[in-house]
Amino acid sequence: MPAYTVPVPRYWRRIGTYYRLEASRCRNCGRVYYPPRMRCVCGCKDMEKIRLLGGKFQLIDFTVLHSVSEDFEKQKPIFVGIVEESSTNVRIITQIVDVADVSDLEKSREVEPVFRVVKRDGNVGIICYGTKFRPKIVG
Amino acid sequence: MRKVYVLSYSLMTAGRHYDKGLRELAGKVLLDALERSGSYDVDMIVLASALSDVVEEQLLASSIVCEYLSLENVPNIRVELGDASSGAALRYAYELVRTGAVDKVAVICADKIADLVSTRANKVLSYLCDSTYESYLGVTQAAQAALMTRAYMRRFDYRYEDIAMWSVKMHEHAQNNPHAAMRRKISVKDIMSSEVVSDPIRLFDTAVPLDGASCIVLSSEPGREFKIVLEYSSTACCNASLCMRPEIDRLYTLERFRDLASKFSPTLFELCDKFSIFGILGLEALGLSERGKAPRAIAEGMFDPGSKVVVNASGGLKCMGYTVGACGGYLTCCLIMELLQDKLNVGEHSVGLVCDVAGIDRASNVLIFRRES
Repeated sequence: MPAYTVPVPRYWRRIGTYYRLEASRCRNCGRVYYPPRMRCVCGCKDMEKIRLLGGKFQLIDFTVLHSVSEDFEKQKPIFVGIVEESSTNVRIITQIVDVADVSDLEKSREVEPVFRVVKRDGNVGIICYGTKFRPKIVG
Repeated sequence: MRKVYVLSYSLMTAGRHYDKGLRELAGKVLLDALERSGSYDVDMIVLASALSDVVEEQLLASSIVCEYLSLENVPNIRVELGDASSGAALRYAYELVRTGAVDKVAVICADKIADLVSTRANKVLSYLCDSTYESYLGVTQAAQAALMTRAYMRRFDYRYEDIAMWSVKMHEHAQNNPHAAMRRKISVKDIMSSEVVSDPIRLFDTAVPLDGASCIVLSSEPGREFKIVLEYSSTACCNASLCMRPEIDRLYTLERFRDLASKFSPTLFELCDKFSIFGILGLEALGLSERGKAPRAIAEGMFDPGSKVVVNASGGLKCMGYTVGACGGYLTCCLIMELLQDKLNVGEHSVGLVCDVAGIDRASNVLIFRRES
C-alpha cells in the first residue's frame, strides 16, 4: 500500500479558503477574520462569507526560512511573510514566492496573491494547491 | 483549600535517547520520584506529553506507562497543551490536591522527538502553529519566532548580536547544571557563524529538540527531606494567530501574570526560552525589565546567579534541550533544585516562579513555589 498523508476530504473542505481566501465578516461590527470564524469577538454569530482574493495587499514583514518541514524540502529556503489586506486590515501569515532577490522584497512592499502548488503528497496522493503571494508586478 | 507540597522530583538529562521509548523514559523518572517520596503508593498519575500519539503512535500513553511499572490500578490521564503540557499537567495536579480530590499525584513530563529526522521533526513541531492555515503553507514556529525577533529588533534598534546574548548567558549558567545537555561556553561569534534557521535566528540560538523526562510528585503532606509548597498555579491564553495581535513582539499571556511579582515576590525565575526572543520578552512581560531594555540588562549580568533576581540559572531550555511537552518539567525540577540548593547552588532564595509557553504565545502556565523552613 503506497503511503499518502493528506486525506482528500481534509483538503477539499478548505478549497474556498485556500483558493479564494474566503474570510468571514461580522454583520454586526464588520470585523473580518481569516481564517474564518463562527463567532465574532463582539459576540455576534451572524457572519457572512467574503473573498479577500481581489483585495490590495501589503507586505508587513518577512523571514527567510531555511530549516523547513519535510513537505517543503525541495522549495527551501522559503520566504514566510505577514501580509495585510488594506480594506479589512486582515493579516495573513503566508508564503512569499517569486523573490529574485531579498532586496527586491524589501523595496516592493506591495504584494499580490498567486495560485500555486503547495505540496505534492508523494507519488500517489493528491497535489495540494493554495494562495501564496508575490511582489506585485508593476506595469 | 489545602496546601500543596512537592514531595519529590526526578529528572534525566535530555538527549538523543535512541535506546528508550516513551514508556522507558517516563517509567524511569516516575520510579525514581516515587522511590524518593518514600512510597510507591500514588492516587493518580498525570502524564504531560505533546507527542506521544504523533511520534510513538500511542494513545492512552499514561496507561501504558502505568502498566510498565505494574501500577495496574492507578488512575491516570494524559494532558496535552503543546509545549506547555507540563505546566498544564502540574496545574491540573495542583488543583486535584488542593481541592482534596486526591492526596498524592505524580506528574510525569515526557516526550520523544529525537527519533525523527530533522525535517520530519520540523513538520511535527509546526503542528504547534495552525496546521490548516499556517503549517499547510510551510510556516513553522521558528519562522514565527524570527518574525517576532525582527519586529523587536526594529522597534528598539537592536542588532541580532544583542538578542543572541541570551544564548551566551544561558551557556554560562548551564556550566553549573549537571542536567544541562549543553554545557560548553559559546560566544556571540559562535552563534553568528552557525547556520541560519530562519533569518535572523541561527542554530546556536535555538533550543535543540531532544528526548527527555522528569517527574514531580505533589502531595497534601510535606516530605521528610524538604518543605516546598506549590503556592500558585494558573494559565493564561491568547487564542489568536500571531499576525492578528496588535504587536507581534510581546508575550501577551505572560503579561497577565505581571502582578504576581509584587504579590509573591519571587527572586528565582525559570522562563521558557525555546528561542532567545522568548526569554527576552518573558523578562519584559513579567516586569523584570522595562520594555525594550531586556537585552541590555542581560548583557550587564543583571539576572546572573548571585544577583538579587536570578533568571534561568539552569541554562534554560537553550541548554537543557527543547523536550516539547516536557519542557516545563525541566524548568520546574531545576527551580526546585535551586530553591533547595541541591546541585544548583545560586544563593539563598525562598520563592521561585516557573513559566512555560505553548506555541507562539497561545498559552502560558505559571507556577510559584515557596521553600518553607
